[in-house]
Amino acid sequence: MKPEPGTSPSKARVETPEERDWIARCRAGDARAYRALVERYQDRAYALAYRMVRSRADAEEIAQDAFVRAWRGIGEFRGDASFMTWLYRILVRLALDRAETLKARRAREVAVEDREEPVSLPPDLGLARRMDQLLGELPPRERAALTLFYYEDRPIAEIAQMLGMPENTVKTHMSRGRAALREAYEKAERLGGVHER
Amino acid sequence: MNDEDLERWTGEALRAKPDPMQAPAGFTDRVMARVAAAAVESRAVPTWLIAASDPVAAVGLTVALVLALLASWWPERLLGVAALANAWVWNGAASLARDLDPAALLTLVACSTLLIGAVVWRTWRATERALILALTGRRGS
Repeated sequence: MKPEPGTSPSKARVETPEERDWIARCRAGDARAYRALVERYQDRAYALAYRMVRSRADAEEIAQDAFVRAWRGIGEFRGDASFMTWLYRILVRLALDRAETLKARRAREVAVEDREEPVSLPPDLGLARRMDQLLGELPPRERAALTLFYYEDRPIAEIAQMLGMPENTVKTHMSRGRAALREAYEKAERLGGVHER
Repeated sequence: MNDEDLERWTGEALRAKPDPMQAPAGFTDRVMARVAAAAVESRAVPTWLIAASDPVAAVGLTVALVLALLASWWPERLLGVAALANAWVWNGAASLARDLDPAALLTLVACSTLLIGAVVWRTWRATERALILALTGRRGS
């Protein structure tokens, strides 16, 4: 049986001796070791950034920024958490800032166009992708909390650290996010867009 | 739907994760290019080592430093030269501004402060002597 999200450490969170060696070499300024780390985590970092901002160009920029900042700060990396968790913290903050900016921009565009339509999803889209799209319509903090909890299997305490807010606030965002997700799901279902196959 | 039902429903609905995504082609290369640029930026290059990349500026700085030292003990004859050297330092700073790291900038500011200090000190001494001369009608010893 699959464990509940955020309750068990994922494999990626466990640092291998090879990775610890790379980090030690990075601290000594070895860019080749850092390249190995980037290659290992680039897909996950990019995917998380994309899920938070829903723009490929922005996601790449954010993921790149996160890696560059991690390189600059590698000397301060104490190893309390894994490199990936530490990288995620940097990335999530950057992505949240960008998501807020994009949200404000979209709000202005909607105000200009004066329209608000429920999400309409192609019927041939798989359930997972449809839910992912609906998740993308949530406000940034709610989207971030749910994405990290359900897709990245991060515990709430860690999400709180990443988002820079108390655990109870994370729970509030998650609760609101679930309600908003359910509402969006029902709207889309009424439009005939979400059907479990 | 209460909170528990909602939590259960969300867990079920998001249980199937979307397809894994791949970073765009060339992502690592682009990151490493930025990392290399960041490494160059963060490398603290002392001003006296700038000669490797900009010999003119380095010669200017060296001359300015020597003049500053001379101006600090040689009487006001060097005032004008020290002022010129100060301008020279700042000219060097301006030409290098784009590549300057904080340590190099600090060194330039320190050099400049030294030169300005020398100029102010010699000016004050010259004024003082002129005042003594004017008030006593005699040349000071």
